[in-house]
Amino acid sequence: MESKTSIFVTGQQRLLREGFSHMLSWMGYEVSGLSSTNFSVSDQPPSGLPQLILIATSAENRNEPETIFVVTKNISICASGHHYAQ
Amino acid sequence: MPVVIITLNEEINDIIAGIKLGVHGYLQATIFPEELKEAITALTTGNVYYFDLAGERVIYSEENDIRDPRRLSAAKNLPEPQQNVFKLLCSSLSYEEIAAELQISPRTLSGYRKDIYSAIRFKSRVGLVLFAIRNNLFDQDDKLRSNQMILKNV
Repeated sequence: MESKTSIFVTGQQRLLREGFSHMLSWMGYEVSGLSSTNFSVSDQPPSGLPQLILIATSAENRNEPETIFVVTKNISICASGHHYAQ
Repeated sequence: MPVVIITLNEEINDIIAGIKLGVHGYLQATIFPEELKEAITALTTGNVYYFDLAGERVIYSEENDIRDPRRLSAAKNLPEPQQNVFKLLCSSLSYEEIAAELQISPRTLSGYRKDIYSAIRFKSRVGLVLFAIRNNLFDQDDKLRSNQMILKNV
């Protein structure tokens, strides 16, 4: 892979989020994440906009539209050099 | 910047809600690495939508599928009963609820659905909804529209 594709992994489903972060790192992608713990995933926002955002959802939390919107907006904000708007 | 949902949940209502908000795809949580790689490559190299749901993997191109003028023309020329069904297919209603809403039998609804799929040449409700939303075929509420506008600028 010439330049690593940058992927931001987030979402409320911790196991999915961490599992996918692991797998993507193993596959050679540059992985960052929000509210994730351990592994190779940083809690810091990417230095620039990621090329893809993955949001892990569960049947319990569903992919409630407002949640997706807020998460995506926050990624945009912090990728622009600002803090997360919680 | 594509936003993709990884999900254990394949409820059509949730998928439609995501499409309305502007997500670019859904991936099953059980996706294999090779398929995931294919999805990421597609999503990061072109204006495409990627759905890997219920054992069916579909890639829709913004240019060739969603903005296809022949499909648009076909959608706008659907007879009124099919138009009404098409509009409700883009809502969170189940097929049973759509039939009740329109006061038609499930069998009649099934026939109208086949007409719509055939005319617009999509094989799934997800494709139809994506096509309708991206082309603003039906009115959406102001809040949703506002959110979509912001997401477009992400």
